[in-house]
Amino acid sequence: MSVAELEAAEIQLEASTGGLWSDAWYQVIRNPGAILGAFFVLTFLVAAIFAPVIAPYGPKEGNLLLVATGKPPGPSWHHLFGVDLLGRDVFSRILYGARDSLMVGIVSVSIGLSIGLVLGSIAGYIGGWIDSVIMRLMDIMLAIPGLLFAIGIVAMLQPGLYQIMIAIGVVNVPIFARLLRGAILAQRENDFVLAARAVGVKRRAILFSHIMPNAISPVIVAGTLAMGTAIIDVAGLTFLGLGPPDPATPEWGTMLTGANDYLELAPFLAIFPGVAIIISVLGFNLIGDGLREALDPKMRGRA
Amino acid sequence: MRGKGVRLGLLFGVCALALTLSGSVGARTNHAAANTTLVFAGAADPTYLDPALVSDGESFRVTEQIFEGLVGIKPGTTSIRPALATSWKVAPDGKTYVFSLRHNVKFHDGTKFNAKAVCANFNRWYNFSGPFQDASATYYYQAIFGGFHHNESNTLSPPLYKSCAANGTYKVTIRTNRRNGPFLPALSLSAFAIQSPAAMAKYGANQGELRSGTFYPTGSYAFSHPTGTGPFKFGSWTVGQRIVLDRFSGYWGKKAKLSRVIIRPIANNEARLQALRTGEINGYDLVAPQDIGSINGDSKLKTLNRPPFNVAYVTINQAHSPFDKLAVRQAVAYGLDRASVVRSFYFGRAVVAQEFLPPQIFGWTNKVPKYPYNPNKSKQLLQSAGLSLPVKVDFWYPTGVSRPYMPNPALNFQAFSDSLEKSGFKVTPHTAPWRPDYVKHVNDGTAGDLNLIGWTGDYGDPDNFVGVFFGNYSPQFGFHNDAIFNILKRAQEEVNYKKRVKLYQQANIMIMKFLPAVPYAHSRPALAFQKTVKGYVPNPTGTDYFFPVYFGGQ
Amino acid sequence: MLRYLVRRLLLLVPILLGVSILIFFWVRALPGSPADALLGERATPALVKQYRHLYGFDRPIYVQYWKYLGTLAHGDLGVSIADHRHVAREIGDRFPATMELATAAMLFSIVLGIPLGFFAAKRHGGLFDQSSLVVSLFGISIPIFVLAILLKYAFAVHWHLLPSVGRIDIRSDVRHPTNFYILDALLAHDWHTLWDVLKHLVLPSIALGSIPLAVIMRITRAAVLDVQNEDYVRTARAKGLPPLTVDARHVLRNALLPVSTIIGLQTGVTRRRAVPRGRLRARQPDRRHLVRAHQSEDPLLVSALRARVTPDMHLCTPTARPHQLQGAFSCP
Repeated sequence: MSVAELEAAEIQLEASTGGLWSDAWYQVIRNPGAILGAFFVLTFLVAAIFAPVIAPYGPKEGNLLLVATGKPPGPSWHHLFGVDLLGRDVFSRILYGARDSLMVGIVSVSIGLSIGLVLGSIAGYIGGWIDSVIMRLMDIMLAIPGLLFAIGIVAMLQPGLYQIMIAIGVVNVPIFARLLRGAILAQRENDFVLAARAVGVKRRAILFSHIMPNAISPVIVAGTLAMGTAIIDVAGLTFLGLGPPDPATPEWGTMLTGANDYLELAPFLAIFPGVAIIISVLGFNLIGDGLREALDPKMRGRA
Repeated sequence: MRGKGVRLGLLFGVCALALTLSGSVGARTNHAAANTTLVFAGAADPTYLDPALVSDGESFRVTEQIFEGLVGIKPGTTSIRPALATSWKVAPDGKTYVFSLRHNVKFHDGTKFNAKAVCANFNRWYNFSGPFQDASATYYYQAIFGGFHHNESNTLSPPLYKSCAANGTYKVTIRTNRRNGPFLPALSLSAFAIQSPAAMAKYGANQGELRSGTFYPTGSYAFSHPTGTGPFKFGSWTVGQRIVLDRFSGYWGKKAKLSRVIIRPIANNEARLQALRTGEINGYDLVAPQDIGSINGDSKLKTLNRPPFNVAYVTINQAHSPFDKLAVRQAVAYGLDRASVVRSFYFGRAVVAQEFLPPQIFGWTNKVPKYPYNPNKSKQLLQSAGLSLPVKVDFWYPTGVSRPYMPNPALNFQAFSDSLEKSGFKVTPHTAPWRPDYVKHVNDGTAGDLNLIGWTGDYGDPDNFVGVFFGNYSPQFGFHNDAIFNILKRAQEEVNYKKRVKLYQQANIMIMKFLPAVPYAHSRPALAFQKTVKGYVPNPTGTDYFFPVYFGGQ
Repeated sequence: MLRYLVRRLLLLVPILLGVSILIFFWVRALPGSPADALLGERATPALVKQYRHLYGFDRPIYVQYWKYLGTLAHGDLGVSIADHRHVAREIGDRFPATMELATAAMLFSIVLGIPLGFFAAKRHGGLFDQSSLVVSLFGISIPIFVLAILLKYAFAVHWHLLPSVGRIDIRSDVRHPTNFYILDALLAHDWHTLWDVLKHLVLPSIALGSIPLAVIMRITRAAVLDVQNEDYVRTARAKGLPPLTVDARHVLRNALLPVSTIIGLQTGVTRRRAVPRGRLRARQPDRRHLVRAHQSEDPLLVSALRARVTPDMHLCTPTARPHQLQGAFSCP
């Protein structure tokens, strides 16, 4: 075995131990921001799971007598977050709403992220005509307005929450793909990549253990931010009748956009779901940030 | 050192900006004070400005100021008044109308208004061909006059219009092929306004084609040269920005008090309200009902009411069993908590509808059977029909729409489905986007057993309500009832006013006994203005006059 | 360079073709036929049939597509089904406004986003960093229309500092030959109008720029953090170069690579958002608005969408170009 081959084997060995990821995990749990983020997300997860136990009222339980004047009463001891236009308890609806809203955020971004990552890394790393084909496809997808594109997908798949998640995920694909490709292209010519290639490290190993950790950070940031817009986008699609057919289904985005027309009459109808969205998105962002730092090879080992 | 300089410069810049900003606002209020220009906001741009070729409210809002018809409507009502015709007579055969025309009337291009001009307009409509026979171009003509001289499609009906003859300069005889009660009131529609034949010829008003499947006028008339006899003449149109109308100094009647009206499209109702508050507009139409309270609470603003001229109702599709049974339809009527819906979601802007006609229109009667909310009675009726509870019902509502008669369909739906579930029904919710899916499903009778829908009237005739709904078999309601079909046909053909009133009252009672649908609300739309704007009178039809408007002290 | 540009432009052809195919078939695949959309509330089965035949909707779909492509090639973009307006004319009317606003919004988000992201990274973990995170998340989590209402309430209704709606003072009779109001005012040396137009751009730019601002800021921060610990940066610092020089020459320059990608992406997105931005300013019955169809008595929803698809397509195809050019920038 030549020296170069030995070195290559060593590099590969180091990469395939999984040390990178366990190390990253260790970093994440020591990052106060990430802990806070995890706390926010966990809180909402708990709210989602135990909504029937915690919530004082049912999510669809309305009382029209409460809104007989046409003006829904604001927060009080009976109704912590007030009642909505149908006389339903907003607090209970926020708790139940956590179920669908969190799921939409997580699932749709995961779909977009996973497909986008695969396409982006293939395009960025392999290059050539494959790169051209993939990127032209992404251009075509980007050229169509996101909402219209999503409507089209849902219209073909039949209305419903899962279909919406798929649609939002697909619409996000080109964004993640482009972002990752750009970052990979930037890393591809870096010294350490050239060095690894020179000593004969396998392409896949270079991609996963050398380029990815350096290229992934903009994607993580964009992904955690996309979580927030996904929750809002659901509302847009639901408004068009592409969501669950039962309008009583609690879901934050719909609660927030539904309050749009009543901002002067009952501003709290927008505030509470808005705050719920912000806190949960904040949570995901803090986790993402921690993850980003943990994955950054240059910050590793500098605790 | 350099960094500090930059920062200082920045600070200075920000201060300067703030100063100029506040300075310029002072200037703005000054020049708004002394003016005779009204800025009014609608929701969208007009389609184009040839009234014969449009059918939407935003277009009529503009054409109503530029053009006049033979008859107009008395402001604030649906009854007709003389306009370009000073008087008219209907011959005993009910098919010949003689109009005496107003003297000394001029079009905005200086040409004279006379009997020839009237006949030129009627004959223009009658002789429309090719793309102009498209329902999207001549919807109102087809709704009132049926077909054309040469119908180019077998779906068009035979024409109502027969001929127009000028007897001298100021007398016109119009003959129709059959008796038709709604003919005269319908002539008050802006779609039948009299336009300058000279200007239409000069600017190619009769040029148009179907491009990519849609009618499009190719002449410049409908975009930049609409020419009528009205109190305002066309100034300019910048798409998406504004339409400018200037006072016509040669108007035959009382001249407009405003020297200029600017109509601008602002799509969002919150944006319209804020623009009113900042003074960027002086008034706007289509106020959201929930905003009315806060507008009235503003010392500088006021709202005006538009008389109710619409109906919201729940369709019952009798093609679906068991809704062909009267008892089941009665159970639905008793099971809909209409009073609560009107109270909670219309912000005091609506009354509970007891029949399909709004109370302002002739033919309305208080003698119809009424169905107050009564869940127990509903259940009894269902059981008496031999059904076991709960009875399953497929109930549809639209998304992506707000109509004056239905500001928030989802709220109405949720309240109704709750009350139905308390009355022995089990509701399956179903939804579709308003257009085209939802409306198509309703029209085709495929929108479940029950669905939410409604109607806004075009002109002051009951035929425009009950005649449209129940004059013939329609898949939407899925019933055949010759007694109802016949009485509505007789009422439509009757030209004697008193007899028509009687017939429509009878028809309304029959309809509410038969219950092909359950009407639940007539709403009162509102307009908002600065308090200094005076003289604006909202018409029920939704198309108002700007000529009496003026600015006065608060 | 020229060869490169020509190649890029040639690449636009398959993209345009792909977009036209996708849009055409997608529109046809939507439930409800165009004939229904045309007729709306007034549709009867007979009329619908007549319309289908009249407009050729009953012919095979590839024939329809071929015809559609033919009319496109002739520069005839068709007529909007919803409001009968000529699409080419519509683009001429709306495109300048959309471009002006999208540009202003992007400028706002870039000019603010890069420095803020940079400082957040420099004070990593500090108060500024934390609060900038929360503020940017506000930008992301509040729907644009809610933000627009709040901004207008504060700056237009309450403080009377800025206009709330429109592109220019509604009473102004100034002519606009190019329909780019800023350009027109500049060409005419009309400073009063220029100032007026700029004031009208402020609030919508902020509202529209909020999401790109947040994204650019976060990406810049991440990129700067990445680059800061690169060997060459450490070397430069160790060499004793002034911190400002290191930041400008090494950190920012290298960090801008991913930032430029996201700017390219966001420009497209913003331009598309700018079309529906009529929430804030009524330049048109905007798309999202049509989608929501509040209060408007106009033909709604899908008919509108259908009608808008063509202009959208043409408004959006140019968005492929910034990516292309941007791609040129990031290609080695």
